[in-house]
Amino acid sequence: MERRFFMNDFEQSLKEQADQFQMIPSKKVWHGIYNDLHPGRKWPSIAMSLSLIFTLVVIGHMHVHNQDNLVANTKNVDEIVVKSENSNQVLIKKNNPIAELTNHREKSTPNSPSGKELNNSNQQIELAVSDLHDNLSNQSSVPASTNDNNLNSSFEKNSTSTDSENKNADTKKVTQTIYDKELSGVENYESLSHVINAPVFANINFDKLNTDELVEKATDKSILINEQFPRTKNIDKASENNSASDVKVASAKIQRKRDEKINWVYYAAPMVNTVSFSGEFLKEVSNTNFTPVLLRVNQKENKVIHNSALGFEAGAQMNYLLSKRLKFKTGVHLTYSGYNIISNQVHPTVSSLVLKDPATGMTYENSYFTHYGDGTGLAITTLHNYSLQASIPLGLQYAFYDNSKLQFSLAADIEPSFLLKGNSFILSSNGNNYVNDPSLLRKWNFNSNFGTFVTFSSPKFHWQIGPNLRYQWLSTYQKNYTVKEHLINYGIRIGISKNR
Amino acid sequence: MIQGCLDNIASAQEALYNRFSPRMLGVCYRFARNREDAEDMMQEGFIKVFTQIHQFRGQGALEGWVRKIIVHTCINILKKNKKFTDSVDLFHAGSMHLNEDNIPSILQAKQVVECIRLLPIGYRTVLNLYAIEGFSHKEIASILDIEESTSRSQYTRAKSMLEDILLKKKILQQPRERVRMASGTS
Repeated sequence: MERRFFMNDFEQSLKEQADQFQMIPSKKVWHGIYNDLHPGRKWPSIAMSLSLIFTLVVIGHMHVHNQDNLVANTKNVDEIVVKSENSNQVLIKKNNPIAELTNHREKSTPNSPSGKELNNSNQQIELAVSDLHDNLSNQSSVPASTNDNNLNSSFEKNSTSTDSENKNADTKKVTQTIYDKELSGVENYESLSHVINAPVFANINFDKLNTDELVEKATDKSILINEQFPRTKNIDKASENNSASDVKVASAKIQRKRDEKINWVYYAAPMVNTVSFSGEFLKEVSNTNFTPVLLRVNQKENKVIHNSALGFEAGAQMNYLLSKRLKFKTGVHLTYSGYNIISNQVHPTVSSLVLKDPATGMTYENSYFTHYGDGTGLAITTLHNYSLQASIPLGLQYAFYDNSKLQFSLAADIEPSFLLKGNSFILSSNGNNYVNDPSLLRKWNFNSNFGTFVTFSSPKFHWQIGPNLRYQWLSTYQKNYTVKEHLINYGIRIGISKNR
Repeated sequence: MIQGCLDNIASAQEALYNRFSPRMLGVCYRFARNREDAEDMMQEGFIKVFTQIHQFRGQGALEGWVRKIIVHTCINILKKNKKFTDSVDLFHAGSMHLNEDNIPSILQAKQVVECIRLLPIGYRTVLNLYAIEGFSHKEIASILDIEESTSRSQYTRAKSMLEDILLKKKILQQPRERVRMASGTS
């Protein structure tokens, strides 16, 4: 017994024994130290995560931006700058934004004819037209006297500015941007061909013109705007009422077009929670000859027989329209899930849990005080294992049937989840007790939601209802606890979104 | 190796870590609630070691200096926990029941450490600091913000409880006096 303790030199023996004890740390400890000491060399997963998020943001932004560009390009193509100098000359510009033209104008020398023409302009009207087709048809079918009403209903003024520095008091700059609520950009683009082919512009080759030529042609041709476009009278009238609020309305419209692709759904789902166990149950290695095998009523092959419990999920989901039937969905939700174990209260005892170091594969034991046993006591008590997770779903939603009132959809997602709170009673390694160790719970997990639902439309809201299944991909516990526990939740999801 | 650590060279730091980490994890494990906590403590401790290594004057062994930092880190982490503060100051653990049948036994050193870890956290910390790390009761009182007398009484109780466990596990041999007393009375 040379390695045994002796009471007389208790402290000395204790120190010697304790100092002999060594443990092999897992690799993550060194990684943690390394990352802290060398922050410039963050481990790749962080970089990967950031790049993934960045890519998603860029793709999302580009998608939205492309839509804007389409609208903007259509506007540029349709922009017709009408320059009026005493005799209402018309300057037509194709595929050049107004700002570009203005810039070009400023660059031209003051002595050049075009520059002079512009600088001496008494009246300059810049007219941007996005839907001339509709407009021209209005002109042809509706008498000029009634055009005021048509303009007011069909067009919206963008901005008007008066240049007080000009010599003549009647010098004005009117920019009118006309939007059509219903026509798409492509339709607008097509409509331009009607305008270009119109008799007024028939002798101008838009493709070959540069800005200077445009200015020259405009001044040479001296197209009388009032003769060709009776509605410019109306524009003049309308320009007097122009205000900043019109700009706001126009920008709000653009924003609305963008927002039409996005809708928010708020939902809740009462659920029934169950659990599946797999993996290896590590039994305790005891040096005692007798390990009492007690009556075990709530376990089968060392797996806890659990009772289902009620859970809940609630959150907000953002849908982004990818195509007519397909939506990308994301958002955030909270999920409360758990299950019950029937236990008996026993006299407080020490019980162990055999764990396995995932790095080295070596087993070790943690000891716990517990007063919960399995079928060994008198007072029955229910132990509740639960987890409260916050998740960010990333998934797709497909409408396989769609009419104006009713829509049937399938949805699936994957959800990185973070454990906010949890409780964990685990069967001890001798199978006699339940020990509680929330520190074994895994902080980050992955879940998936699968569901189908029907959407009803009411005047104000869309209502969704349908069955939902949620599965937890990774074990509830960390790798060192070898029994794998996967939570499975069945529920009915009820959602509501605002009707546009 | 030390010069490499001073120059913040990763390979030198890793070499120092590999050399001392098994023993230091054993130290942390005695203070911690479980292995994960022990690893967290050691990680924080080693970060301090590497960031403060310029303070090592070369007087005494490097291991002793590293160990000192690790122990202080463990204590600081434990002190952040209110439960620890309460338990180290109160004597609530006296009523706790120990079932010696469940005390694990793999190797004797590990057995001893596991037996220490069975003690309530207040007892365990004082015992670790006094009996194993060699701090005086005055130093312990200062480190843990408790009275010196509290440290003494905590240690006495911890020692008594640990002796009981070790005796029952037959890791600790009965003193002759006690055996003699037992045989004399019968």
